[in-house]
Amino acid sequence: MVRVDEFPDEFREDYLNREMPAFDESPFVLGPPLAERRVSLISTAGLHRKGDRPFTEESGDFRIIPKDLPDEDLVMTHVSSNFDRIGFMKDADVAFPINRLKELAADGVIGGVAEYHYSFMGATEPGKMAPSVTEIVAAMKADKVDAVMLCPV
Amino acid sequence: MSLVREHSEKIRPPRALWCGFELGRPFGAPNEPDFQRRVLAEALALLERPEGPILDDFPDGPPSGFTGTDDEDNEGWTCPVNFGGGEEPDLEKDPAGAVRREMALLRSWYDLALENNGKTMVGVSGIDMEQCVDYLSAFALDPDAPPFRTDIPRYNFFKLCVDDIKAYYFEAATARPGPATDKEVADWYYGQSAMGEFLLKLNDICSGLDDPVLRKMSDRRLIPVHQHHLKA
Repeated sequence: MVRVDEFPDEFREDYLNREMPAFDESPFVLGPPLAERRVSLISTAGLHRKGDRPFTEESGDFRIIPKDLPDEDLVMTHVSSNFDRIGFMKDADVAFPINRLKELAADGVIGGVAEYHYSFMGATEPGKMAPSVTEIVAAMKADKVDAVMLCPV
Repeated sequence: MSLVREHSEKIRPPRALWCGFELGRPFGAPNEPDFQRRVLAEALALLERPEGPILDDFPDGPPSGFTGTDDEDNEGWTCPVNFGGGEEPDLEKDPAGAVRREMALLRSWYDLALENNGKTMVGVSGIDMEQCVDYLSAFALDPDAPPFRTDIPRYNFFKLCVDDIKAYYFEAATARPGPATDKEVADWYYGQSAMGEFLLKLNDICSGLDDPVLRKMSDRRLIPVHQHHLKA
């Protein structure tokens, strides 16, 4: 399995001690009850629609994933080879739980599922993604999203 | 969601649920919808907590049978195909000759995987898989061989060809029922298959090229870190 504790020593140390963005404060807001929230997913697995542009190195751009995209039309072009893809090959929900989200909405656990979801290619310097995030926030507001789940790989 | 607790401790997001799953599987395991839903619901429930930042630990590991050979119930993955025998290809003429032979042997397993999974990850290069092999073979003979696509950078096209072939091998190799972990299949793919050997050769070639982007991609992306011991 590819767990961080199974990386070779040198790489693991480097990985765990990697410089992270520093924030002076941790924003924390309250909102409506979960059962009233409309949820969107943001993945950093380099996911996109089959036929959409593949991700490139150090790109801060994103791809849009419509809510009802068939599972077989979702592909992955993340540049890293250091995480498991077998799970995703068999079942996309292991990384991008759109079907589970729909089930939670059907059960009334959440209020609804956003029309659009998003993916980045996570092996990118975070600052490069900032302009994309501003764009996504505007799209989410139009989509009445009030909860976002960030899904790393 | 958090898969690397140390990173989340530094970033301090408002609400995070750390899960000790394999990288690449933030919701635990494939085709385990009840388990996935539990993880997702637990993470979403953090939204109702009034104070933070929160970094909670998901209490469980992945479902039984998905923890690799550490798991007593799992005998571990084995390759469904024996690559031995057959005529030796002329690698001087076609450096990917042995890869083509392996891919032919894996074909029926790949077809089975396609049927079982209802989808495939092969195809991200935008060209046929055979052409991916053709390009990499031509590259091994002459790194200036023209790429089949010019609308994306060469390093990107090269990597997508590698990814398509890897997806083919991995899907074929995991077509049989039963869990398989990335490390188990990767040990076989990089360490025992002709494609693994070919990748090491390509990596060697790239490391001697003037193109810094291709060299960097090859150095960082071609062989996973847990297989770096195979590099010369």
